Amino acid sequence: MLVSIGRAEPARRPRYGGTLRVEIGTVVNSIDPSVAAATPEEAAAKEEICALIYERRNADGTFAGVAGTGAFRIAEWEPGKHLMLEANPEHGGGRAFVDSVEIQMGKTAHDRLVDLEVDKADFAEIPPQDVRRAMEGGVRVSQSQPDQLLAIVFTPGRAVAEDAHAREALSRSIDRAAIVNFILQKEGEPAGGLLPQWSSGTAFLFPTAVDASTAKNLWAQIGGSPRIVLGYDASDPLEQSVAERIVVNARDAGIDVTATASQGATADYDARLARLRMVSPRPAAALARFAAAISPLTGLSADPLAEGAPPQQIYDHERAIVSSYRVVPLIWVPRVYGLSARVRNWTAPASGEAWPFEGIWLGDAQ
Amino acid sequence: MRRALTDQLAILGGREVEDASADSHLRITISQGLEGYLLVAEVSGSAAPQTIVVPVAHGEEIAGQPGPTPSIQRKIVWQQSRPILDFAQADIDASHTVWYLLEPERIEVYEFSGGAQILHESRTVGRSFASRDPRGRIVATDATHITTFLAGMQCDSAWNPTFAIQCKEIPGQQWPMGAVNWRFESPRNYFSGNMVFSNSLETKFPAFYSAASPSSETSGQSKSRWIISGIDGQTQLVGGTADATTILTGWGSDIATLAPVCGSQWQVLATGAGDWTQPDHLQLYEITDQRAVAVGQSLEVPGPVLTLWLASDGKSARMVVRNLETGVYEASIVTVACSN
Repeated sequence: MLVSIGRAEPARRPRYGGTLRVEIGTVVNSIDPSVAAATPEEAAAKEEICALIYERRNADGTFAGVAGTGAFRIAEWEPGKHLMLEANPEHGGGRAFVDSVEIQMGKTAHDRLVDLEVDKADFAEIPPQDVRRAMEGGVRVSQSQPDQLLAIVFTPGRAVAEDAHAREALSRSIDRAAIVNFILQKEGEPAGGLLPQWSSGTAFLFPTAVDASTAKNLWAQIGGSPRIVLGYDASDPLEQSVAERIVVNARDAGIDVTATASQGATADYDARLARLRMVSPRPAAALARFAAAISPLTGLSADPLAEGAPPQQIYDHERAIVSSYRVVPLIWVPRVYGLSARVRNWTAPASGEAWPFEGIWLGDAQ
Repeated sequence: MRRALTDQLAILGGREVEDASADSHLRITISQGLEGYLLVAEVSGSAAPQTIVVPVAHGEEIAGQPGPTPSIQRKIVWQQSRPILDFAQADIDASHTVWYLLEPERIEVYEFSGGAQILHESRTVGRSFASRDPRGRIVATDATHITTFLAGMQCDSAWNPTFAIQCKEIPGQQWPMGAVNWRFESPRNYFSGNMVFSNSLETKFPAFYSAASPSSETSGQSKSRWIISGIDGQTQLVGGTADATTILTGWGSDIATLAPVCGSQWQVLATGAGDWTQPDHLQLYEITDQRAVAVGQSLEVPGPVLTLWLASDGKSARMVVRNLETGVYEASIVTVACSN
C-alpha cells in the first residue's frame, strides 16, 4: 500500500539521468571549429555547442584538442538539423548529471515557445521581446545580462555599402532608444560601440542618440538614387522587427531602405543585421572575437588585439572599427532562455560563459 | 459577570443586599481544572453551608501548559573556499585538538594547541572517479586514527609518528553508518539501497541519498522502520506496524536521526527540497505511526546543505553548507535543544 501525502517535491541533491531536450533557431552546418561559420548567428550557436564537447581552448579563445573531451561527446550528428550528445564519463570535472542532450536546430521562435509550453522542450532560446508572452504561458524564463550586440553589417563590394556617407547616414538615422523601449520592451540597451560600458568602460564615448538632420545631409551628398537593401534573419522575429523599424527611421531622414528576409550569408543585400555575442567579459578578448567574426562580412581586417592590451589600445581599435561605419552597433540584447519545470540547478550563464548543461539535472530523471 | 448573576437571581426571586441583612452569603469563583473551567459557588448563612461546583461547557479545547519546544542550533566550526565533504574534530589531550577536513581529492589535518595552529598536514587521497557531487565520510576510531570513504576509495590514516595515509579502491564500497553499512553506488552520488546489518543480514530498499532509523533512545518505534530519501525525489517512511509506505513531502535529500530531546519520540533532521541555486533549511520532524510532524522552527541556512551526517555521539550532526553569497563552504555542528 502506498500512502501519498500531497505532491512529491524533488530532492535537493543532483539526480543522474535523462535527456535534456534543446531547441535552437539557428542552423549549424558544421561543428568543426576550424570551419568558418556562414553567419555570426551560426558562429554563436557553434560556440555554444563546441563548449560542450571540447575541454580546452587556445589562448585566443578558440577550441583546442579533440571533440568529445568536454563534458559531452557526439552520439549522433545530422548537420543543420539534429545533434545528440551523450555525457562523457571520463570528463575531468566529473560526468554530467544528464545522460544526453538532444539539440534540434532551425526551430522557429513560435515553435520553440509552443514546445516549451506543451513540455516538448526543456531548453530553448526565446526572443527578448517574447519574454512577457512566455511567462504568461507558464514558461520558466531565465535572462542574462545584455551581452549580444545586434548590429548592421555592410556587405563589401556593394555600391551603396562602399559609400561612407551612406553608411554613416543610416547609422545616424536610427532611433536606438525607441527600439529598446518599444520592440525589446526595455529588455536591452542602446549600443553605440562594440563593447558594453561594464566591459570596456568607454561605451559612453560612442553616442547612441538619433541625428536625423545630419543623416539627411549626408544622404543628400550621395549622387543618383541610392537604396539600401537590408537583410535580416528570416527565422528571427526580433531582427525582423528591428529591420522594419530601421526602415521607418531611415525614411524619416530621407533614406531609402528596404528590409528583406535573408537565408544564409549569400543573399542579395547591401547590409544585414547580425547578432554578435560576447565570448568573453574581457574587452580585449571580446573585441578580438567580434573583429574576427565580422571580418569576412565587412572586409575589415581582423588585426589581432593582444591579450592584456591597454585600455587606450582597445578603445582605439574599437573606434577604428566603429568609425568605418561598416559595422553599425544598434542594441545590446540579453540572452533569454525558456526552461521546463524539470530543469534543476539552472544558473544563467554570465557573459562569455556557455550553456551550463553539465551542471544541471532533471527533476524527473530516473 | 456580577450583573449577570444578580439579574439571574432576581428572576429566581432573590435579590442582592448589603452584608449584614443577607439571609445567605454567596461567593462565586471561576476556576479551571485539568478538564476545563468550573464555576464554584460557596453558600453560607441560615442554612448549612453549601458548595456547588458546576463544570462550564466550552467551545474550544483548553490549551494545556506550553510544553518544551525543540530548537535547531548551528555552530559554524570551519570555513574555507575549497569544498569540504566531511570533517571531524578530535581531542588528543586536554590541550591538543586535531581537525580533519575531507576534500574531494585530499585530506587536510590541522593541529591546535591552546587555540593556536601548530601543525598543518595535507595528503592527497586517490579517487576512482571524478564527480560533480562528490560525497565523503570520515569515521574516527580515536583521535589519531581515521578512516575516510569517498569516490570508491577507502583510506586509513594514522599518526605514527607523522600523519600517514593508505588508500585502496573498493568496488561496491560499504560505508559504515552506525550498526549498518550502506553500499555506495560508484560513480554516482547515492547508495544502492542495499543495507548490510552487523549480523550480516541484508535489506533492500530503493536507491537513496540518505536514510534514517530510530535511535536506541527512541521509545515505541521498531528499529526496522526507516525513512528513505530516494533518488526519485520521494522520501518514504517504510516498515512499522502498518503494512504501508508513507510518502513524506517537502523533504530534501539528506536526513539524520538525532537522539530525542523534549520527549522520547523518533526525531529526524531533514534538509529542504529545491536545488543548489537556493538557500536550504533544516527541519526537525517527530515520527509517529505513519506521520511525520514538523516540530519547532526550521533553521534557515545560506545555501544548499551538501553534507549531513549523524555524529558519533548520536545527538548532533555534521553539516556542510555552501554559502551562496560568499561561495565559502561552512562546516557546522547541528544540535537540537529543548526550550520553553
